[in-house]
Amino acid sequence: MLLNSVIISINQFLPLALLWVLLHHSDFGQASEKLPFLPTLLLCALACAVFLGFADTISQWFDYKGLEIFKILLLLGIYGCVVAVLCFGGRVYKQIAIVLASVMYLSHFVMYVSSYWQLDTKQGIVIGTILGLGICLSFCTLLFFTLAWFKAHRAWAVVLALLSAHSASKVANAVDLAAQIDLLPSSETVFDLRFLLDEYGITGRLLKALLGYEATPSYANLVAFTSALILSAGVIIWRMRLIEQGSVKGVEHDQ
Amino acid sequence: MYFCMLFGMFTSVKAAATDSVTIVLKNHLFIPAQVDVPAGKKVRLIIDNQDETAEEFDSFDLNREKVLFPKRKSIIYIGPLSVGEYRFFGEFSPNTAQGVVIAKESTDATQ
Repeated sequence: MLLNSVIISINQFLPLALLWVLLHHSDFGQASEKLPFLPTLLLCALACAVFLGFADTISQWFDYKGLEIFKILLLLGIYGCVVAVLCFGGRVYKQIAIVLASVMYLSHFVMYVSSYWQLDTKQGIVIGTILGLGICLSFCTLLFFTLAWFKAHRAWAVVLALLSAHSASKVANAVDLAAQIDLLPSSETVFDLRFLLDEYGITGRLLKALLGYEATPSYANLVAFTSALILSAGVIIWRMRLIEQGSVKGVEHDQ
Repeated sequence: MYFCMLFGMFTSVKAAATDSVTIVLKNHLFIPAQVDVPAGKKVRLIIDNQDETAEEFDSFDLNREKVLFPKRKSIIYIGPLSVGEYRFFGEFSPNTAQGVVIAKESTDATQ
């Protein structure tokens, strides 16, 4: 139970924590707008509680496809919010993305704890969760300062590429969910990298959470990931040009 | 390359009719633990969670993940698969809830 709790807490907390760190560093060419920690945490808890109250019922909708449809909307919502952050900046989009991600991931963790919380398993769950949270915190702290270093050296592209890849993986994930319920045509696996790096190990899991690594991606998954990445890259390039034009005009105006 | 992928996405669906396979989750065990399916065909897995606790069907090999609510049925479509073995497990009880989907060349693969 202890090891299982460690793995589940890493799987569920890491994507949320990574998104928080990446969004924290996503401001470019503007004043930084940080997320207020406590209000966002409260919103996440409230959204999770509401979702968990109805999740069981939602799962039975549309011929047992309700939960996937709901999650597809959540994932696309997260991607949409990240694109909006890249387009316009703004704290509200960051906050919505975090709340949607918490409903997507934290609700699984709460389901696990509420299902297995018994006298003989309590200790394993608590210690496992603390260890899992510690690992997430360590990795995210490392990422936080690495991204800060990149920003300090004006390497915006690295930070934004990571955020783009992370958000594009949500679209790829949504496409997999759509194939899972036969909403999109299933497609065959493009390549198989399991011999090199599978997703059961710690490196595979980290890469999956950070960049959406898939050892056996389908055509649909790859197309969705690439398309979402191209769109994000287009938005970033457009925004950077706008900022450059603004700064050139500013210089001309000063002269 | 990109357009080839886009083309492949919509041309690789081979299944004419969808086969259904029922898996029961009881006492944190998938029954049957081995599911034989025909390769190159789409298959509908009906998972009946008869336990009192929730479980999460998870498979990195199949790219599938779904919460199985207690005393509820769930449906997951898999395939078309290439010949081979595809592991799946219950994320909440990975030591006991394990199984494998075996995609076989023969068209009469049964569970």
